[in-house]
Amino acid sequence: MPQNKIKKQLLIFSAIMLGGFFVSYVILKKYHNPIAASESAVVIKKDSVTVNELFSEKEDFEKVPNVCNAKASSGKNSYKLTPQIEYGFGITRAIKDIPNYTDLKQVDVTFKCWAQKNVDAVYVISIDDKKGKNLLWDSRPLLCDKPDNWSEQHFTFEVKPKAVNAECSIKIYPWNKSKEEFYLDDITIRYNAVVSVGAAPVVQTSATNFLFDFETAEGLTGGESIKQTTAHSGKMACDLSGGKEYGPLVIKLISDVSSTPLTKIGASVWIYPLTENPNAVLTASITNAKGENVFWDGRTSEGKPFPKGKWTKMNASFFLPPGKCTVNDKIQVNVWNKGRTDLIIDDMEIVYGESADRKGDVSTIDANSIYEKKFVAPKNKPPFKTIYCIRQDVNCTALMGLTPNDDFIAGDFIKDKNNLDEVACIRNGKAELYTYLPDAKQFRATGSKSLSADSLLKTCKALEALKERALFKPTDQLFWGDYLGDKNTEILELNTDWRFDFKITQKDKDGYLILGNVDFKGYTNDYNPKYYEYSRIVSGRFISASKSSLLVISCNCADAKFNGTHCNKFENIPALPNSINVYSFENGIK
Amino acid sequence: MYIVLKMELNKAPLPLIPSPQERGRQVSFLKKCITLPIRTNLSYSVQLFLLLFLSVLITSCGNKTGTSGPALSCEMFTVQNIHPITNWQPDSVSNKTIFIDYDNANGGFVIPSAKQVKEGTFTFDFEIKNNTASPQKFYYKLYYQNESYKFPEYDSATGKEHTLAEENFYGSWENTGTAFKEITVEADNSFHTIHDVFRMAGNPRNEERYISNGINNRWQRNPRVGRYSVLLAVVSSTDLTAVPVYIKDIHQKQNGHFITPYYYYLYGDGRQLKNSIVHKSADVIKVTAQPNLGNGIFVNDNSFGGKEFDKSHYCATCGQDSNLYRNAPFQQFINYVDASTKMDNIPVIADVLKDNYSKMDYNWNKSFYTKDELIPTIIQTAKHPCQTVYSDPKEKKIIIKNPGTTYGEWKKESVGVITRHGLMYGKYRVKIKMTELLNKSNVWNGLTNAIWLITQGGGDWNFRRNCVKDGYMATYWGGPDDKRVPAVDYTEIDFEILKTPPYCPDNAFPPLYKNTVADNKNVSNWNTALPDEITNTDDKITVACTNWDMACSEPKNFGIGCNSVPYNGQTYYAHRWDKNYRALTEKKEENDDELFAGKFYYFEIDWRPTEVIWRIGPSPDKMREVGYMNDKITSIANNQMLLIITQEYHNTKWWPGTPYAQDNIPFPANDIPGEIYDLTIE
Repeated sequence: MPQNKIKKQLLIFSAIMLGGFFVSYVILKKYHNPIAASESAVVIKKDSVTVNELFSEKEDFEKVPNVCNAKASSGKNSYKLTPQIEYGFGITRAIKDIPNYTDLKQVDVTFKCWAQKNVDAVYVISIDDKKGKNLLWDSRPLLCDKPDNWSEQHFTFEVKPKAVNAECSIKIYPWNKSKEEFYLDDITIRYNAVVSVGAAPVVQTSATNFLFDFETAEGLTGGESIKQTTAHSGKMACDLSGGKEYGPLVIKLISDVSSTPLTKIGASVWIYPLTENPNAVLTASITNAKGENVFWDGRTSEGKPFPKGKWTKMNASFFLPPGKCTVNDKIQVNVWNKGRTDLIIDDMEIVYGESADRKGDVSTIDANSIYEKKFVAPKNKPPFKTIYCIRQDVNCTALMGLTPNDDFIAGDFIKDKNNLDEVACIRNGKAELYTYLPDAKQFRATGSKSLSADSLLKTCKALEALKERALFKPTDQLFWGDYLGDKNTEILELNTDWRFDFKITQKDKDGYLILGNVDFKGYTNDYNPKYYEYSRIVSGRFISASKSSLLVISCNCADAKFNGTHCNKFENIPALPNSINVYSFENGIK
Repeated sequence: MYIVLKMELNKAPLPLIPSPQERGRQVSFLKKCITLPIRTNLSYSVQLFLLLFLSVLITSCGNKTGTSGPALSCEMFTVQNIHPITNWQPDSVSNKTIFIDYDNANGGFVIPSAKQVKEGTFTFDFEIKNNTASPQKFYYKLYYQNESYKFPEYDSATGKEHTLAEENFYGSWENTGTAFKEITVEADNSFHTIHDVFRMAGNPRNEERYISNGINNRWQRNPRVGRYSVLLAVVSSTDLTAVPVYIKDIHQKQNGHFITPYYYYLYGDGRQLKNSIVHKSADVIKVTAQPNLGNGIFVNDNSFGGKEFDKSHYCATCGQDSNLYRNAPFQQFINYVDASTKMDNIPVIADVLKDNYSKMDYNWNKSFYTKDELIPTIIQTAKHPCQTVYSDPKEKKIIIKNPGTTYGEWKKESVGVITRHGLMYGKYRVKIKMTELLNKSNVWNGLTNAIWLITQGGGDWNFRRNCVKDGYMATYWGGPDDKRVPAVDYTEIDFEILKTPPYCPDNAFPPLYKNTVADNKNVSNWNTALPDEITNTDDKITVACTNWDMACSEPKNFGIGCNSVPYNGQTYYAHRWDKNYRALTEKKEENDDELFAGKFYYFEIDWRPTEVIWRIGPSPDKMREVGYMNDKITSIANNQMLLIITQEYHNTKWWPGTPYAQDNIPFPANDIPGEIYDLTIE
């Protein structure tokens, strides 16, 4: 073969490869980009919304008298609507009988339908009060769209709060408007609470803890007494000797530290008495917009063990009566040297308000089911089992330059005997390859490479799964592989919107089944990947040809406004140093 | 200042007036024929000096051989060689110690038991000589009294019997109707030996309080542990008529109160008897309880809500068979669980101790679970008797274990054992290896190690002394608006050891915890550091010593908030939340590893009539005090109690300021064992 022809063929091949690489890169980039992914989603499960079932009931007509036994979706019986039956089998329930009915927001209706042809009928929900006054009426058309076959239908009715009253009752029934013939079976009604996780009231901002070490007077009013002297920490402290009565004042607008009126203020200060029996009072007060004092409280050191010449801490908790203040009020904290004895104060801490409640709605788990050992895990609802991913003994020194900002592709780019995947780090349009050496148990950089058609094929296979993304949250990162070594494909779902939420799922006949929450084990000290501010996971058969592993790149970010997707300045915190590790699941864990 | 010695009998030894504070092993004598008036304005210290001087003088003149003492004479007769117990030998250190026999003791302890001494009685003897010219009838009666745990018979402030002395444990022959026994002594100028027997048993006064349906429930007032004295009274027929009926028959009362014979003879009118000899052997025997922990654990139906429960874990040393019913010293204990223990627990199962669960783990789990992921549960108790408690007959120990849990069966289950035989007072010392509470990162596993005394219950028969000022809170579980009643049967004295800060002194209480924010983009927002007042004692747990006085405000220095209690060179701080709070607590921080990482440690509750002392230590001779309360600040229990040893889960809302909330501590992945090696009550 002439050299030019070979060169030409190689050039064309390379161009195809590069083109393929570019396409895959663009697609993967899109996959990594949550906005792009959400745009492509057909049905988006609302982020941060959870549905909790309060109560459910089923009817399969097996024990209902006078029903039809000519057809059945399950068992032997079904319910037959005929031209003589306009209003079919209805389910009526008093609202007060639904546990936690005040949380009721939705009614889900699922049933099977059989008709020879499409019918003009609807399913109706109706809520009436005890006098029969209708508070809610809604309907959905029945679509028996599989002639001569059972088809399943599912409706969700929204229930307005005003219709949720203990004295009311809910009726759910089919309305055979055109008086046709069709059959219903396996009706399930679910009464649900809907919780918007993201909508949980945020009582506080992140800035509610303050330490004033008096090394500067920043944030303080009246810091004239701060000087270089005996200090609890640093070099500066506030010297209240010589009859000085007031220490520096910390004044804040409540709205700066809380979105709601405060109920509690905690404060502490270190006191160094220069004489015996000091009488220093740690005070908190609130002034409203008119300048009126609406709250004052203080805690004194008098009568307490504050020995001369020794730093002793004083704590105080002030509970604010409800309705006393608004977010527009000002809150002041300071130390009042009531006894006017000589003393030094330092390291004043103030904690405004209390930690916010956990997100979400209350658990609907029936505690008795736990006590009686009858607990059945609801499908795809918490609590999930924890499935651990174990840190592998792999030297990742060669990967230390990688960061979560980078994009990665994993694949068997290099044809060799071990059939292991390589890690390709894509930076500035180049792919740097890293190969695992089984004998040395370490990764090695193998330079920039063109990627093989196999890798693209794998990528394409992976892309197929993007179709399934509609089942996950738009901001989820998804990983595919045989992680459990069971020759099945599991999908890992990682969402870091508000926490490192990592789940392992498997496809089943109804969609996907969440097998459990993924946590990590075997890491050094506290270096659990889920604790880091910024992590990137790359999935591949790095250390075993038959089982997928995870390369986890974990970093902290020093950016003041880090958004979780790109970090400008990484930060190596001693207690949580940036790290790269390989994790694998144990075989067969379910 | 003067002393008059009036000697009426030339052969009699010199008398000794016992000190009101009489304790210990001193043998004292009271000879009715001799009086020792002391001018009332003589200062007590001078009196004491003179008495000591006289004691030396007396003992140098009298017969000092053995326990028999010197010959004691009055006009009509002489008594010598009094041997209060002749059939029980001294131990290696010359003490006579008897261990309570727990076998078949459900009806009450009997000292000695038939197993310990052939006839089941102590024998005593004495010699008597008729000093007259004709045969005479004399009368004798023997009394015994617990000397370790008693109120002094004599109240020096009033010059009368101490008002609480009637609570002392004293007795005589079980048939209290047997007043004095008659002996006829020939006028042969010879000593005649009188042999007799007695034993110590519960309800020695045969009080109606402990009798129901005609049954004398002697177990409801068991003999106390500690040292016992024996008092022998020998009287002439003339004097016998002068002895009041309530002294002859200790079942009888005077004006609704019992009068202790010890007071009557040693300080009261009994001193005026002319022809009587009263001899007190002060330290006759020491009674100790040391149940064999290998003798099994009984299961009480009531603890498990009736008879329909799983008995599949029963074995030879745990269950309900007749042998265990008769002889097991312990039974499985089921904690009272109230609704306030409801938790919404994080859905995490971990071995906090072995997995080295870190503060960061704690903080992440505290911040990053949503409410709907939490596990609603209350603290559990054993449902399957004998599954989590074992009695090991070979090593004579009891093992308890909080069971590990699994997904779907989440639980935090408290576990423990309780003694079956009630006692009043005693120094309860437990040799035990309980679970460590903190791991290497000093994170708490959520358990409270508890060694505590609790009322034996029972209602009226076990009521504590009336609180006459404003009464007790009626129930131990009620709130501050509970009604007050003059008497209750609830008492409790606790060691509770857990991770919680001291309340006192209160300059740094409550600790100032930073707010956390569930923000995964900033580690420092959720992984906040604990305050100095917590980290300064990070490796320490708190030994909380509590006396449940049911808010009886009668004690002179009853107080609320933090109050200092100086004792034995230390200052303790006792804390009560408010005037209706039913318990007074002192806390001391101790190293977790020292108490629980070693092979064993000792915990001791020294429950006395007027004070309670809590001690811990590596060995019985190296105990150190960690808590002290007395009747000036709290009402001390005076009813019968049982000992409980538990590893229990508490709602941390009971312990304000605790750095780790129970809800945020994982469910235990593995069993958490504790081993009890010895219980000694003395």
